[in-house]
Amino acid sequence: MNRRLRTFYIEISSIVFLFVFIYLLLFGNSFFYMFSDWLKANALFSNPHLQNISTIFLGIFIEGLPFILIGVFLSSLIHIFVKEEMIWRLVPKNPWLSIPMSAFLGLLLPICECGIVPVARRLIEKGYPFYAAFTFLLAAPIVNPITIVSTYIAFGDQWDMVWLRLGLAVVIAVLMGFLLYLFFTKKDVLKRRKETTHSHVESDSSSCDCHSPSCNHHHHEKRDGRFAHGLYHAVFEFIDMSKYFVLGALIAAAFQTFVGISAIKEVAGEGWMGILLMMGLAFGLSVCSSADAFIAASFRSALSNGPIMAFLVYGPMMDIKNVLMLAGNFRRPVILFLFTGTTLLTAVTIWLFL
Amino acid sequence: MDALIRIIVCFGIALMLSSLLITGEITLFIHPKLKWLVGLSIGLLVILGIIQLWQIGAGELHRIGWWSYSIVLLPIIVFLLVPPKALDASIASKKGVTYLDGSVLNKQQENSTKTDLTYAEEVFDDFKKGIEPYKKMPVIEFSDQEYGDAYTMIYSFPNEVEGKKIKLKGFIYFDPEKKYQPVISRFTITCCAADATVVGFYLKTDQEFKENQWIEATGTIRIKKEEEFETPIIELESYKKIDPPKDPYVYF
Repeated sequence: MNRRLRTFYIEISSIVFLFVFIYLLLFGNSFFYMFSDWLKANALFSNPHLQNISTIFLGIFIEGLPFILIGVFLSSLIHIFVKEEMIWRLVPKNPWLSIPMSAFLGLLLPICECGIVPVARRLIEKGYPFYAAFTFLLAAPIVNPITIVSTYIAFGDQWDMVWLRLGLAVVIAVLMGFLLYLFFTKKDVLKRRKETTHSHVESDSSSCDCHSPSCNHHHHEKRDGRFAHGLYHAVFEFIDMSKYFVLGALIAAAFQTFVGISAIKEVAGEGWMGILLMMGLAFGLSVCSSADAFIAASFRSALSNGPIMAFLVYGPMMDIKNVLMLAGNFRRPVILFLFTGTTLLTAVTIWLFL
Repeated sequence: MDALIRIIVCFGIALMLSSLLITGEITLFIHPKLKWLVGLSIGLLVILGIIQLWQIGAGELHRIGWWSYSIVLLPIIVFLLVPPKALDASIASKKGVTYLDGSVLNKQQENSTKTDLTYAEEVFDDFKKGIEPYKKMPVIEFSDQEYGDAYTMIYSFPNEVEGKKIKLKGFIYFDPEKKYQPVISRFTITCCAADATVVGFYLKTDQEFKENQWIEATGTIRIKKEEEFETPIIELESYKKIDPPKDPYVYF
């Protein structure tokens, strides 16, 4: 008995955990109220700065979490159901076609910048051309229905701001795609995850390194094992993604509490300074691309279209949480290249055209 | 052991979100229209948790360090140690106050080309109709749901309601941009607490206030000329201190 308990203690405790969870969900109303009152009465920290950081941090976390989860599940579904042959058949070989095409993929796969990294990574693993996948990664948070609608509403039902934003995003993303095509090969891009040795795992379907494309061929027939493995992998991907996301949300919350928008409003002028400052602000604030148009709109009385566009275009492509998530998945040279390239391109195109 | 931590992460975050949804405190963090997304998160987290339970003997797919786990657990830890609180005046100065001003409206009109000028005028007239109900009220009063609408109207057409009585709630904030005048303010959020900004009216008064104090103010709308455009302000007549409302934010 005792030995059996020891061998199954994880299983037993997790089942207990599941039951407690279900019980709390069903009958927990009064418990939750009590709990929240108790928390308030026994607050360990009541420093106002700390509380503001906590509120903003949890705000970003709660708002971004569903998109990360969607991204992780989407990535697993691609892993399970999309075969490499399918991508080879559908995606044009010619980068002149595949890169511009990828810029508009966001219209079909509307994911914001929180959820896009796992999907882009999975697409590359599946044989999607990496340069086109990065174009997708940069463009999709802006070129998607949700962002289009929110920008339209935020700027008082005006289409010109929307077209400007979309146009700039597509141009920058496509240019970055071509630059990556010129300077990198697929081998330089993906960061290998620290894999534990799988030798101890019993079944062959879960024993392979799931990131080498060749191994996927071995068990096409074994849908079941593949399915379970794909789903189980989602758990790890979720933790991997959310650790960077949480860190980014925390830094962004600290930035908002100690530096803030108003500091930038004071110094932001026109020209280079204004553009760069607004890009810095977009980077630091890390607001979701579906909401940032409303913040940008609040600058309209103080700034002209140039700096506002810099904020609207740069923010969804590069921000703290996004860069951290990229850093967890891709190699350093690529990220550096992507970061400097996007930053320079945004600043220069806006300086030239607006 | 690692599997257990992953279970705690999935179900723990799901429990935290459920607790926020049930107590209604979720609106301190995100716009109420996004509640369904939180529901979705809970559902997906429970699925992940169940997958982890089901695959509990499957071993590690790749190694995750202890620091990664502690970062992922951070939201729960923060939630437990620093319980949710609404944003208040202490951060308003970092967020900045958004006073709508008529100049934006006028600029939009100038920008529109001649061909759609008649169309723009029609839209403008249509928009202006929104002020009528407020003109008919003896004392302008509005609920939190109507706050955004009323705010936009009063700021767009201050001349139409000048001299009218108004009664509204808000917290006191001294705006450093306006020489630390008291502003009766509210936070407004469009998605989550990260994009919150402050909206409000100046109070013209000799009363001494404490920052962050919630009041219900009654006063008269006056117009103040500021750099070419006219801003509505409130000449305070009386006020009473109130408790902060359960949902302190307003939504546009």
